Amino acid sequence: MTSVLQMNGVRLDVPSRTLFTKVNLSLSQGESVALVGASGAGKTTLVNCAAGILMPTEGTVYVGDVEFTALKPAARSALRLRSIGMIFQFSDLLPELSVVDNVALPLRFGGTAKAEARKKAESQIERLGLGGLHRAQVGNLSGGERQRVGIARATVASPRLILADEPTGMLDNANTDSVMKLLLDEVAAQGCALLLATHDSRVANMLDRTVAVDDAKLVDRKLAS
Amino acid sequence: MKLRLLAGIAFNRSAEHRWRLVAVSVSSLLSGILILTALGVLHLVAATQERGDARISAISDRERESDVVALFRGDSWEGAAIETMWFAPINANGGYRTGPGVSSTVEPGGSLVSPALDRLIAERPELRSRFPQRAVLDWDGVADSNELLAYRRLPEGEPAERARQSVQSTAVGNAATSSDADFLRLDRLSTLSKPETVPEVPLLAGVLIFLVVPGMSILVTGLGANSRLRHSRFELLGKLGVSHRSLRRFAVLEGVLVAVPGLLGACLLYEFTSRSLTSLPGTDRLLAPGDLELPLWQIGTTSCLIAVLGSCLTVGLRTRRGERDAGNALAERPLRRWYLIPLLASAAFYFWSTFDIVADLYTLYPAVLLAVVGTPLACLFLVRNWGGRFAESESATVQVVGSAMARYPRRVSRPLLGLSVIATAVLAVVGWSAVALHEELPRTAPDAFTFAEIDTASSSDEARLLGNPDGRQVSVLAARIAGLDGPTASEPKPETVTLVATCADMRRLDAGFTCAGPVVGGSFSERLTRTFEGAYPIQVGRIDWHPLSDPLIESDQLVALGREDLVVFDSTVRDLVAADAPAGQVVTRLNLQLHPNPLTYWIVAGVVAALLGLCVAFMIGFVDRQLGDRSDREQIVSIGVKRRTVAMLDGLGLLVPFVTVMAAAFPVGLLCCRNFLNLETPFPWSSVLLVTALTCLFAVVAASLAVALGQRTTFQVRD
Repeated sequence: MTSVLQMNGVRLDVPSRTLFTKVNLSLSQGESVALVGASGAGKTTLVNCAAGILMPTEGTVYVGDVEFTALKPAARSALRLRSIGMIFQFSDLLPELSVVDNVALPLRFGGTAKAEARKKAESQIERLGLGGLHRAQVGNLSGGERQRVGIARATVASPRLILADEPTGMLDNANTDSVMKLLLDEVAAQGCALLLATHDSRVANMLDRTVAVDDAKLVDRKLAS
Repeated sequence: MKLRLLAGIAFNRSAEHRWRLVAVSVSSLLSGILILTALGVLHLVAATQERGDARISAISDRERESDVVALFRGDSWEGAAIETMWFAPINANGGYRTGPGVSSTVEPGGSLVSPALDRLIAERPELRSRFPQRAVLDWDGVADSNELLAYRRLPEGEPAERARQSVQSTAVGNAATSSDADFLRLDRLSTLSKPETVPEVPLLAGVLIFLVVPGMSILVTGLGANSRLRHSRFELLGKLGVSHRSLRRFAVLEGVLVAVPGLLGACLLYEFTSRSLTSLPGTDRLLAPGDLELPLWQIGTTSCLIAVLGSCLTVGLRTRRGERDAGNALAERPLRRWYLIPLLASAAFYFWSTFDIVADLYTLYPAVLLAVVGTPLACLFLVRNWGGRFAESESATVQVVGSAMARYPRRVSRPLLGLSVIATAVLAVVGWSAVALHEELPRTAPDAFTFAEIDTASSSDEARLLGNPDGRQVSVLAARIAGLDGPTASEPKPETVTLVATCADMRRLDAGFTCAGPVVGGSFSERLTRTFEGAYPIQVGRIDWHPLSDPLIESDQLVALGREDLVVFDSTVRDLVAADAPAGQVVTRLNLQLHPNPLTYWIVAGVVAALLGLCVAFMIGFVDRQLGDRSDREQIVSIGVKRRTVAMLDGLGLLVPFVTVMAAAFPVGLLCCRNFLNLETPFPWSSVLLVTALTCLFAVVAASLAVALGQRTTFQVRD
């Protein structure tokens, strides 16, 4: 199976310590992986390394065939825009824009024409069952709705990899279940890979496998049944 | 969508963005006013130059192209030069062309005077006799409102051809523009110019430095104001994959959008003020219509450029700093020894200037510039060293402040370093302006005679001066001086002055003169020696007297000596000579007096504006830092530190580095000030004390503000 994300011997030093070392992680197409660990263990940092937002002190990161770590910042940004969908704990939507414009954001910055981007965004919103929110203002959405819009934004450009950082951290169980179902259905429908950082074992169990950041190393916890 | 997004960020009304809106609006308004004013002053100077050029007389040796015969002779009033063009029409019908501002023809014997000269004549009735039947020039005919200028038409029967030094001119006030090589542009060649303490070029540089630089400083400080909202938005876009380049472009655009209302306000304010002002504030200079008015396209383009340039600078500086800090957020780059080089170079230039007083432009000015630049760099070492000492204090508060100074000298003193630049620059300008504005009558050697030289004198001049009207002590002599063109034809002797005068003239100066000649001796000779050495660049060895009972009219250069006060004597001689048409040219020591350029006051006003502007920039930067340090303060409070201790920390955190920085800036500034002064200019104690008092006041206000802001941001939620 084609490897979508490949991290080889990654080490990251911060001023006072080594956050993690000898990290090897591979995600195949259609695979979903949960990244767990104690608070402060470095889950978000590792996700940022996978996204090319942070550069490892040592080691290489591949997205598809492209070595992320060898690229210049502008090329890394372009690759992230094209191949990676990002989902954050607080959904981080832009309140200045409507729901449609928020979803269309990656397409617009990727160079898609305005009309086409909006059309694709509307279609994605419909597909995710958020049809009533087309013209809504972000400020008027509930937490669950915002996270669904965040998923729509992350998947609208058909990325090869979705990186999610605690996407259900602020949601109750019912909303967590519905958001996770939406996300996993979308991952399956698009055939992309998912790396999801979470401290919720219930969420982790919904994914194919789990890896944990433990004592600055990445270890396989279990294979999902 | 992108524009909507940026506009949404730019004008967001949330509390975490409000400070940025205020800071950018205020800074763009102030910087817009300062920079547009600088442009306005440049426009004023250009308009002055243009009008001055338009009235330069074009002379020709071809009679058919000339309208008038002209004679350029300077006059003056209490040292102020009055440029005068005597003229007579060549055409039989008496017609002639006129230049800009010369709207009426002048009757024979009449005069056309500039508005400033007209005002002077109205104030001083004794001047009326010099300018009979006067009409007033329009604005277009004078360079600036202070210009004393007169066109005087010769009376009938007094053709100028008879006077030596007359030329053929194309028009009165220069209507002709010709590229013909035979034409010669003539400006002040034969007239008395007005020596000024500061020429135009340094003035222009001054305007740029004292208005544009603070303007940009305020703008960049304001545009760099923190906004968590803006930061988080751009961070999110970056995570989504928007490239750094696009983010920088967005940041510039957002800055421009926020700056637009302030700049628009500045444009409207400038447009309104420039149209309603009738005189240049801070000076006695009247403004010609449109002198300060800038074309709309220029105002618009300038505003756009200011906004874009300011935003680009902000983003550029932030990005570089961000990239540097990315490696290690808490690390501060070490202080380098080369930081001391500018100050050492400044000292070297000063040392050089003490040996080479002529090359002020190449030694003194670079020394001051290097001192202004080098002081903040050197301050960093002082902050670190003093911080180390304070860190050993028994007081926990002083220890915390000292430790911060020793460990992060840059971060602690960053907003204060600008103030060190201001203090050094202002003290240097105090010295500069003390010299530039110093007006003192030329010194005359004690016991010397008062002296006037009458060039192109006529027989009637001599007769009137010899007539000794009203009993005034004026003696007329012809003098031949070795090394200079003497009035008599006989062979000159080196270092010997030969006076050709009547015995009566000599006795008028010295009652005991025996008229036994030829050598003048005793105390009379010494007084004459001092007089001539004061008037000419010569060393007088001997003074001879050649008696002449006949009138001196064979020469056209007379020397008048008297015993009166210089101002009275100058006026007496000029009044007597002015009765002739055309009048001879009188030169006394008053003509050598340096006058402050009227625009110098504008520079001083500019320094004050710049000072205020930079203080505003400091305050914006300072408030920004205080708001940014909120989390540090909250940490201190969370461990149980009292409200009063936080206030002490905030107050001392500002005052201790402030005093340290000023301890370096003041001595350097005073040295700069002292080095500008010459022997004749007293040390400007009052200005220096005023600067010191204002600095102390500023420290108190800033410390109070620091305490108030700290208390508000730290405790408002907790309470």
